[in-house]
Amino acid sequence: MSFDIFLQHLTNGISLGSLYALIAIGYTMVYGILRLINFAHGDIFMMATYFAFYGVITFGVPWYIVFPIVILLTASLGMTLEVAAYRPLRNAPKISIMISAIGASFLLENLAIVIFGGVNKAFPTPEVFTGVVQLGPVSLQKLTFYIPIITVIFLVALLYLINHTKTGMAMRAVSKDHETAGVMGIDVNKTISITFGIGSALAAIGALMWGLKFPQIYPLMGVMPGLKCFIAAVIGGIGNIKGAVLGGFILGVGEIMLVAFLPSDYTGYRDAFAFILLIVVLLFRPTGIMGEKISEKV
Amino acid sequence: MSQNMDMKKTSLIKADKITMQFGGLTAVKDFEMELKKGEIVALIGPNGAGKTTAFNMITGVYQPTKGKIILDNKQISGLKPDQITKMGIARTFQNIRLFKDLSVLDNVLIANHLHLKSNFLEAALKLPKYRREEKSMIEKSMYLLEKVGLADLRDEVSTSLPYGNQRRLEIARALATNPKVLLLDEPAAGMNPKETEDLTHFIKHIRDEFDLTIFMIEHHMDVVMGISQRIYVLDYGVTIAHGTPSEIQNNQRVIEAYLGVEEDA
Repeated sequence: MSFDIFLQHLTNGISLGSLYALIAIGYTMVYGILRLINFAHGDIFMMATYFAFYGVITFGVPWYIVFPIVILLTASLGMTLEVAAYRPLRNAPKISIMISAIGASFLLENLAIVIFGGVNKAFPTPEVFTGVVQLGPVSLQKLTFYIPIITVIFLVALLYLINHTKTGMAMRAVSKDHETAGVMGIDVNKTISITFGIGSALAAIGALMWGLKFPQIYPLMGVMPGLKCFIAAVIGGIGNIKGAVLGGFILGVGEIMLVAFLPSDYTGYRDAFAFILLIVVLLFRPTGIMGEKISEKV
Repeated sequence: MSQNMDMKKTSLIKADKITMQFGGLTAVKDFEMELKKGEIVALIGPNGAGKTTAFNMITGVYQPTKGKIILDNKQISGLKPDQITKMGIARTFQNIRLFKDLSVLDNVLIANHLHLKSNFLEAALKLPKYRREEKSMIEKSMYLLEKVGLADLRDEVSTSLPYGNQRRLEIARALATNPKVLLLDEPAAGMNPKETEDLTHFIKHIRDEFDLTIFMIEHHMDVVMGISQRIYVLDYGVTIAHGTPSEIQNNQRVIEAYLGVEEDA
């Protein structure tokens, strides 16, 4: 395999990795603040693609108007989910809230089957995103080229928000200790709500780009990306945003490389790669690559 | 302000028969408490008497099962902790609860957070209003750290500080919320006699400088007797005595609660 082809695969991998990263951030943020794996995150991702589908195809609204609305709608969906399924269980045992998360996931999936139908739909692909860019020896779909750029922009904005704003400061405080944060004058419920909103908005951005890249949408489409991005978050060190991004890239690049380098008989193991990687990382570094040391709360 | 303190004795905070039940267990029963502006009042009692539970009710961490709490003629029981903090009650914790992994300065900045007015856009664009606010927030936090003698340690990780300093940092953090009433939960726990004495002066000092009313749980009787004007005594969730330090020292029920009843007396 020549170096050019390697570069070609690498850029594809980075592009896929950026999508994983965007979704993984949602898992890691929610975990950081609630110590909860939001199993419905992948389904929120799926919902975003349907919102876009109906906006563009059914109502015929231009994509540049629909996409921002989709992001807002998805953010509200995430916030609603938190209020309805997680907030009432805030002081319940961790296992109850986890079961509620699994329930929420099934609810969204089945709701989608009932409302949208189980048949695959074609995601609208506006012309701006089609076509090819030539980067030296590497030729890429325009979209593959845009995805990492868009991801980086949102990532920088997110890190800025968390480290330099009032909201970010509240989020950091709540993630350390809810009770103390409350006594310091921070509205804990509002902060958690904002966290869900941001995580879901990023999932929506990921979903829109996913739909453009793989323009087939169906009610269970969030399951596999959801699982993989959860794995990405765990590999990177759950609770750590930079870790989630790193995990996303490792998973994306690894997957593409696996398909590229293994004989074609084995490419079916593409999805298994993520799970094998998870097991290996958990065996050798249980808290993930950039994970915090685990110290039990007393 | 301490001169005219005796002249103007208005009730600042009042607990009206507050009760906290956890299932069948009554942790605090019909607790009545009233603090006048500028007072330093202590809450004592044996371990497990319900002192911290009383604090948790006042700060909104627990909702009292019965009764109400009034601050400045406004009912605060039923409000959330952050709302109560905004109305002017701050506290420290018995088992120090600093934000781990954050620096000394960041811990105080977080408590300052509720006074920030700039929105995200102003912050992101670093507009002058935001810069001014940020600057004054840091200045105020540094002032508080100087007060508690931790200014030089601003960049240290909070939990790496020695115990006594962590307690001081908790107080600085509580002060950053601009409280009217400061609740101290065992501020002298784990301190040696010298540190205890310093703390006693320090508490009086911040009361005067920040115009505070202080309610404190404490086991060190030197501190309690030295600075509190009045003392409430809890035992098994019930208030068994209330009075000045000398009254409490001679109260038979208090002595029994602490020392047990002498069988052959």
